[in-house]
Amino acid sequence: MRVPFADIGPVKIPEGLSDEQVLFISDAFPTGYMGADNCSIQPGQTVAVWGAGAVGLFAMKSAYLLGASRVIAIDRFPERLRVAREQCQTETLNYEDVDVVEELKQMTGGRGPDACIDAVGMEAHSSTIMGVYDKAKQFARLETDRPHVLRQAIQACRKGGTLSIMGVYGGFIDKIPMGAAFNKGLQFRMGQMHAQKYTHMLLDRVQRGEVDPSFVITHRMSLQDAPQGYEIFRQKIGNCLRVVFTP
Amino acid sequence: MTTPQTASTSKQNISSRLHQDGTRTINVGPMERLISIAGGGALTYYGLRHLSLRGALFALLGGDLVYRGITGHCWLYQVLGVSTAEKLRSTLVRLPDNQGIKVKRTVTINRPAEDLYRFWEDVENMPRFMKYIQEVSRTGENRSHWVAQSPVLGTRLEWDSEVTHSQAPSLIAWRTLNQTSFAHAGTVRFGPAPYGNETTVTLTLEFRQPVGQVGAITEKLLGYIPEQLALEDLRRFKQLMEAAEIAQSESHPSGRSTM
Repeated sequence: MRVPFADIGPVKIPEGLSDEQVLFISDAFPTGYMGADNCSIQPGQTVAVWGAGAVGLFAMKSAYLLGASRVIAIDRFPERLRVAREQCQTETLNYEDVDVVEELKQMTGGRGPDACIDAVGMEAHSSTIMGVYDKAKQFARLETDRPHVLRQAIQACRKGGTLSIMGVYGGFIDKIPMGAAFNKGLQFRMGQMHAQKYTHMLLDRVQRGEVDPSFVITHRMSLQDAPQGYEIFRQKIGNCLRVVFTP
Repeated sequence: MTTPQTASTSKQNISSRLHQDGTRTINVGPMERLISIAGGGALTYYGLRHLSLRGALFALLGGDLVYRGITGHCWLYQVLGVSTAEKLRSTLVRLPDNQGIKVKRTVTINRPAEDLYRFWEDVENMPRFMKYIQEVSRTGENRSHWVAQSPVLGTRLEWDSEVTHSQAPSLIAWRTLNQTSFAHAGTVRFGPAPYGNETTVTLTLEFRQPVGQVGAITEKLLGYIPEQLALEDLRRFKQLMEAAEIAQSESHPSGRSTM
């Protein structure tokens, strides 16, 4: 068997750690961690995270690991928000019930969060007129991505704050409040996660018991049931966050 | 004694109030509903006065708009997955059992809490940053007489107010004593902020005026006035405390427009 970049890619797992504990260090955990790392969090700061899927939840955990005082989770699924509250000790906002930008300002003395993490990306859901606008333009091939979270994060973030984008964007986006971003002096940091930079440090943290990433596992199935597992994941059946297959 | 903190309005009970009538949920916002009713009414009137196919179509369309406004449900929005229905806001909350509304606004001011408390404690300072308050005079140890211009009608309002509780440098609570149309209870809190000497200032106003079900939409719309006023007054307070003056950027340089 030929393993490309075998000197960099494979990692030896220390004794005493289960497969489930280390599985997410390969992708979801470092993605969330880099989202928080991008924010250069100072003690006392407030971080808002859009999207309480696995990556978002890891971003919330990581924000606390990196010294945030408050983390606020934003999603529309009550079950995911419950996980954020219970597993990651966040405050929560359901964007279908409340005006997210207004509430974030209200929760932070009118300032806005010090950093905003987009853990949603180009397939953002929205029940506003702007949401229909994005879908219509996408349908007409005039826009490829739906940047709803990006717009909200720019509007909510405090002056001089940081926007960290970990949700994936693929092409072209419209109606970005660039004037607000520019005049507030926001920093934008983003990109595909840098796996090798974080792997060993996260393994150490898991080994020291600072965090157990297996909390995002909602379904365990055999490899034969993989098609069904993907369907469960896609439809979010049983409040699915992550399905783990074992051979 | 009724203190403004009695009505708890946590996020939890906010969420539980949504989607209360199943499939026919309200998906049109209150202002849009009023416009829908008014526009639909005008269209129906126009249609009925012109006895033609076009008139009949206008009348039908108008009727549908009126129906949409009254029920607050729009089929097109439902098909598109859109809702412009008002989201629940912690800045403007209806008190339980139709008892009135509560407005809550917050700003961060770059001054120590002690300075802000001392300034706010002297009621005669209020007209310096509260837009519609014209005169406040001390009438007793905890009592004061207030003269204001109504933000809605421009008429003169007067009332007496009493400080019910104060704790330097973090809290002042008060309530009005007579039944004016502006009867309310208020609290201002000066709390810590994460940077330097900054203070987080939170103003809460509770208007306990029961209204009937018919008045619910109007009440919600009128509620925006105190909600907006509270924020504007806090912003003026911030300017006065940080810069010792209030910038006049309104269209009327005297700062006393009648809306």
